[in-house]
Amino acid sequence: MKRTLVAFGALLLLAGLPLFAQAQEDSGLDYFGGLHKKGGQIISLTTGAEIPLFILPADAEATESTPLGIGASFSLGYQYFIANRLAIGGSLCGAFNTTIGGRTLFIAPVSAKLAYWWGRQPIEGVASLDLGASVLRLSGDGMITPFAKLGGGAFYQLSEAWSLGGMVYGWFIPEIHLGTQTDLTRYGTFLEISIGAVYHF
Amino acid sequence: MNLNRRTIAAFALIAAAALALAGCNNTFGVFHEIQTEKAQVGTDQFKNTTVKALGEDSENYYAVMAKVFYRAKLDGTWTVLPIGAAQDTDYYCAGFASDNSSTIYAAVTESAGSIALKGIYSSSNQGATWNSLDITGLGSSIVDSLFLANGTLFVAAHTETEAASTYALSYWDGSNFVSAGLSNLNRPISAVAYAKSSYWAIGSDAEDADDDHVGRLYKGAALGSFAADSAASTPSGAEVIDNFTVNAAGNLLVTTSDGDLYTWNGSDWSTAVVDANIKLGALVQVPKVPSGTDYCLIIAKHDTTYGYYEYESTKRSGNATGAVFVPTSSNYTTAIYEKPVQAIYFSDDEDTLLIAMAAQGTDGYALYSNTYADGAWGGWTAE
Repeated sequence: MKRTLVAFGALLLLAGLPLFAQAQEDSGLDYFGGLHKKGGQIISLTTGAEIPLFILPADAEATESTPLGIGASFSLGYQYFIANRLAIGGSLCGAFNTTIGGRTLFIAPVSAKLAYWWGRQPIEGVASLDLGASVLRLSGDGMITPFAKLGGGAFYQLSEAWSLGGMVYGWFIPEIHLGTQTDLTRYGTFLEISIGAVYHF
Repeated sequence: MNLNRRTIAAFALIAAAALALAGCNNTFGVFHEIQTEKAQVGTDQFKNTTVKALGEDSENYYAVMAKVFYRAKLDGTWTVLPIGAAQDTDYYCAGFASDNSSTIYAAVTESAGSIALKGIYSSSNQGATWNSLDITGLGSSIVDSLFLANGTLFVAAHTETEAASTYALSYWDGSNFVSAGLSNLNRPISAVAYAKSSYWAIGSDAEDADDDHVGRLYKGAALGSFAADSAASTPSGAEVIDNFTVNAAGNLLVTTSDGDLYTWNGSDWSTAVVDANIKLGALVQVPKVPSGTDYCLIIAKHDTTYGYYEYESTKRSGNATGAVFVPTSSNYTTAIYEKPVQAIYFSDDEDTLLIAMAAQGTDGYALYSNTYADGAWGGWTAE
């Protein structure tokens, strides 16, 4: 229940970000010193918590309601502004979650990113979509799966180049099995809540 | 050779696809494994430790670590077994054996670092009272293990000098420990069994400590007359011998360090390859349905991991599709596969398997049980 409330709260926060952006744009004030203009670049580093939400479909052999614990995540990303406020790039992520049986699930997504930035000094915000592939490893076995990540964050500008802030992302990992193993196909979802640093150049 | 960008890109794509495929195991469902995991909460004494031997009598199960632990078969809790007339719980168990029905035996010293034998005891009432056996026949030798075969108690022991240690096997003749005909060995006896009207013992041989071991299988038609087996195709002298058991037909089944399973049927040796060049270990034959006659061997193994194989005419991993003794793959993987198996025991009375492992550093347990009930094996549960 606690996990569901956290997820719901995070999604509300996420849903509110575009409204915040709209409000800022309506004010007609200048936005963040031109850092989000075409040709700008960003390197980001994040670390945070990786909260497992649910795995679907449910397994008839399952006996535990929460077989995965809250884990940790980190990421390194790069973005290039192809238009004002609109950036493309990529990110390398990693996440660890321990299982109820004492194993460790390792997720390592590599993804392309599309991001929309807005803001007013000293606050900037971003909403982004990542699409890519992810390595899933458990007990020495694993899969390479599609990967999608949707979410956003808000940052406070500490200096001309650096900003610090927090992010919330939903991860969607379809684990697709083919042929006679299609019954092993599952869809995993996670919530990433992280803090991060952004370097503009 | 000139490669244009398109060719290089094609090679890169092929390499990436090959890497992706190599990283995939279509038969392993990561999320499915996680969904079917079960929390294991066992007895603290068995966490991050090693259980080296197992036993049973009419009332209790026994698990041997530095001390002997026991629990009542029906819903008991694991407790240190008091040993000796003084019902002492401050001891080190150097050896333990049971006849799996009525009598247990224990050899105890003051501590793990002490070679002074407190005594060798037997009890036929679950340790309520103990009978001290006369150990004068063992002289000053240091007890390494106890074994029980065909109702006879054997003691593997060694003597230490500055130059070397020598190993021997003795047996209890009803009033004294006497030589079984194996003495001045340069390696210890690691197991004793009785099959097809002969006693059998596993040892090994080497010229000195730096040499490779050569397995020795000793055979005795009578107590006191062990000698290296020399039958045609014997594993003795040709293999490193790991362990053995006696199956329902009374045959001796022997595992080796290069993945072979030898069978002695009373007149000939035959060989099967369980898994080439994989070290095998303890084994037990278990009816797939208790009281039935369709059997499966459980054989400890050490390949890239540990755990066991299920073996009928071919081997399969303990969590393979079609595995008999686990309801889910994750049950085997989380409980067993990272740990070297020390002993496996099947209690015919309770339709229960016990497995003893070395669990140091795994943050897991060293003792699990698996009971057949309601038409299925329940899976491994931490004791």
